[in-house]
Amino acid sequence: MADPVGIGVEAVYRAYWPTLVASLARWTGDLDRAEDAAAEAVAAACENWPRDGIPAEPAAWLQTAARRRVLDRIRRDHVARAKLVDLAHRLEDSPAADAISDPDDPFGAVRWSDAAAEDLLRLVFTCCHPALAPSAQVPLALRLLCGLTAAEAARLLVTTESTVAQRIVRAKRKIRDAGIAMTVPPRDDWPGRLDAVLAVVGLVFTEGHAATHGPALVRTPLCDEALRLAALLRRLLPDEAEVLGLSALLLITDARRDARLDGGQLVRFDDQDRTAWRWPDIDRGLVLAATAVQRAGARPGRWVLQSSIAALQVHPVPDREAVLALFDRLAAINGSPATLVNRAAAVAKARGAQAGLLALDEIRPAPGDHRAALLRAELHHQLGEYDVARSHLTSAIDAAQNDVERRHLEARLTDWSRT
Amino acid sequence: MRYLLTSNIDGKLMGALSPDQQKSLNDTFISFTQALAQSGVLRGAEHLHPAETATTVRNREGEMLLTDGPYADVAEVFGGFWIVEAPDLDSALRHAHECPAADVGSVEVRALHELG
Repeated sequence: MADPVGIGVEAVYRAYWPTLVASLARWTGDLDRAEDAAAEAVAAACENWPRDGIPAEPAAWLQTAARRRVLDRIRRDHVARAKLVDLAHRLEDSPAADAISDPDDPFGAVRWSDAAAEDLLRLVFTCCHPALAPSAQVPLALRLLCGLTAAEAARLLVTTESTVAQRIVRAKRKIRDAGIAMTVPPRDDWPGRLDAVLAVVGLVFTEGHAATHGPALVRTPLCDEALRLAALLRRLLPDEAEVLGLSALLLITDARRDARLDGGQLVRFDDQDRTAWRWPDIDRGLVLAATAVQRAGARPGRWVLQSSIAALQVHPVPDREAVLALFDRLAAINGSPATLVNRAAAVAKARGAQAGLLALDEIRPAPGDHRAALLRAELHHQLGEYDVARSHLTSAIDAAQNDVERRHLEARLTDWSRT
Repeated sequence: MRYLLTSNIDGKLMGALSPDQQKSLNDTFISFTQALAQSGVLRGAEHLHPAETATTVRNREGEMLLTDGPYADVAEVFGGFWIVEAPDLDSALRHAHECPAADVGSVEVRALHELG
């Protein structure tokens, strides 16, 4: 079987999936049709390619197969006949990408024509439109941009296939009926619109990296999808500081994936085995983080700041004051409870446990979040106030929803009870 | 496409305004509506009397039941609407952002079902 780079049918079609959907979406003006036709083309590829070999131009093959299916469908549908004429006239307009040459990153290998990249950018902004709820944006991005089926997305999000399918259907209906334009927003609107796109990628990663509920702490495949989305954005928008920052943050954080768990038990950052970190990824992340800072100039956004913090923190002897200064800037533009708790931790590391507790006092904790109580417990413990520490740790255990995290906290409580 | 912009006013936010501020808010409503009309996108607009003047009708078991007041007692009260012509949701949302009701409550944006 011909497999130009030996990476298998799935990797090949997934590399081409986003541009396939994006160009079909523009061509038909209809996400539903685009998704259905892309899925059918991929099904055909999965059937034919293992038998006949991967075609020399997989992108063109998939485009042709998908467009033929769109036309077949419409031919059968009397009402849509008029549309057929219109589409037939535009049959020649640019299919998208071509040959794979380097499997290093999922898209690094695929060359995108300017038109293909433009289509893809339109699709990205549409899936991540701020008028869609995050619960709709995430499954839509996993389906249309990552090429996961509803069943696969459901497994990663620990929910049912029908829930995911419904959310995707509802999101597509809203895009159509509310008139969300499948366009790249005008440059003036970019700050807000790009924020929404990056937030979706961040959300996919966070849910993979520290699963808020369920038995596993890390859902590796979900992190992989987030990294894939980040790589896609970096290809599309290589000059945007925030895109580089997000990519850097995900790479550096994900590189510590294997060191965060030891025999099913959570390992705290300070206790992690640094030799188990994936240093090549960290190095790539550090380079990206540095570039992001340069591009950002005087007004770094939240992702550039977070990637700078992550970059400082992997240093064997982190500059605590510099980390705190970055957290101060981050808190000024994004004062979410999670950021403020992390800032309090940075205060404690730079200025001592007492100062950390004072910083915690200024935060109104988010309901159901165990992290503020946990940090409070740790800081009291450092100060030798063991009874107070244990009582806060107990509150943290009550609030923790992830099984691995809760076991970790319970083990510490047992440990502390001996002191 | 046509979009319906409904204004939902928060009584608490309104009540906190001084008479001068209320007057200037009223002027803003007028200038907002005029600007829509002048740019040629306004397809209709109405302003309602206060919610407490409403009468709500329900048919139950063949009986017509009347309630003095709005159908639900909520913090933000429906106060008026605009119908605007806009090419897409983003354009409609920009109008909503300009609408003074968004400052003292909320503006809901919904596309109208185009018949035919």
